[in-house]
Amino acid sequence: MPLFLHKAGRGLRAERGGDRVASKQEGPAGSEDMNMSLPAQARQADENLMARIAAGDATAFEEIVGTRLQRVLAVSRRMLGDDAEAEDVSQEALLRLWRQAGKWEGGRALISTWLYRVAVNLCVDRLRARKERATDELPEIAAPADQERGLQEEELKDFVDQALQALPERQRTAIVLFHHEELAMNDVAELMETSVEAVESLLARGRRALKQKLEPAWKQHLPERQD
Amino acid sequence: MTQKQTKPGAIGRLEEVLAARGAEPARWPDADRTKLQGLCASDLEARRLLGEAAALDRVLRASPAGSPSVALKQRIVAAAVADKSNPARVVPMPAARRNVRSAAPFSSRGYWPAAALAASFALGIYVGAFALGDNAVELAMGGSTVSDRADTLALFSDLTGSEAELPL
Repeated sequence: MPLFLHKAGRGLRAERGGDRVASKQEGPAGSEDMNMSLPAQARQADENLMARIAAGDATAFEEIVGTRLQRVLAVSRRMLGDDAEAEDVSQEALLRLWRQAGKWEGGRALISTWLYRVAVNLCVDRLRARKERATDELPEIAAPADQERGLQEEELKDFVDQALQALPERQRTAIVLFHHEELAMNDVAELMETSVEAVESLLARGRRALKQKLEPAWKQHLPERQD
Repeated sequence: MTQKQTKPGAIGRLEEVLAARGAEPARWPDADRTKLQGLCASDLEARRLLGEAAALDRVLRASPAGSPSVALKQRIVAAAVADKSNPARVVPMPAARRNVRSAAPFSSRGYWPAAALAASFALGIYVGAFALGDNAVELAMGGSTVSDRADTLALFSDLTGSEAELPL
């Protein structure tokens, strides 16, 4: 059982545009320097939902599945690079929420924070299990053959996914949470149980590796004056 | 400190920030944002670095994670409802079925024994009234009012389907 399942959580915020990322619709927030306390309204709403789930209310659970599954699935897909496994992880994360509803401590975490934690931990467990099974090095990433015509959308998606999968697990986690999920740096650090400085280092190394691997792709997106 | 010495330091800081956080100033540290934005506005090298970081950002975002299928949502909810690990698990009853009893209390088989018991009680009062006379009726009704007696009669009529009247 990953240790940080037991730790207190906080609301997750995006720095971009001041949006909360916990659910991307939970109200405004500020920059990193602002107070990180949870908005009472979001916390109360989550407490109410969890109380209903603890009482066995399947419609409350359905509501959570409807609003939170997309983010959980997105993180899992990017972490694992496998749709079927990502779906399994998402299901397991949400079922754990259902099972543990009676033990929910409303003041300690938002549902979204909790789900991110569990999903990331489940992904890490699977990645480690994969690593134990694997005997070969990760395959080299081949850039699409015909770079002259430019990368088509699907090719680009595969190219990025492969590059992401080639990153070490911690770098990938940091990239997914910060750049894809747009969580605040402090929240990524907390989810990964490390310091902001360590996350910045992971991000810098991860982005440098991605920049190198994805050069054919990002060079097509340079401003025209640099071509 | 000369301008020439300061500039590489600022460029170095910009490189660090771009490498970790990408090209959007909103995601840069508050303490660096204004200074680095000014640098990007005035320095060609800074603009080149910013352009590359922005291009990488666009490529990373070009990989949408997609939406969950309806089937997956249904699968998860079904798995939860079937899961016995939630100690207070209650399988919700469809609303239409929940309302049946309150709307038609005697339509359920379980209510008929209670109805039969009430009918026999009322019948006992009626028979007792004929056998014991007016005083017995008063006794049976516990000194009740006329409206109470009317209610009792109505109940008796409802239960027996007869138009008989209680002797007053």
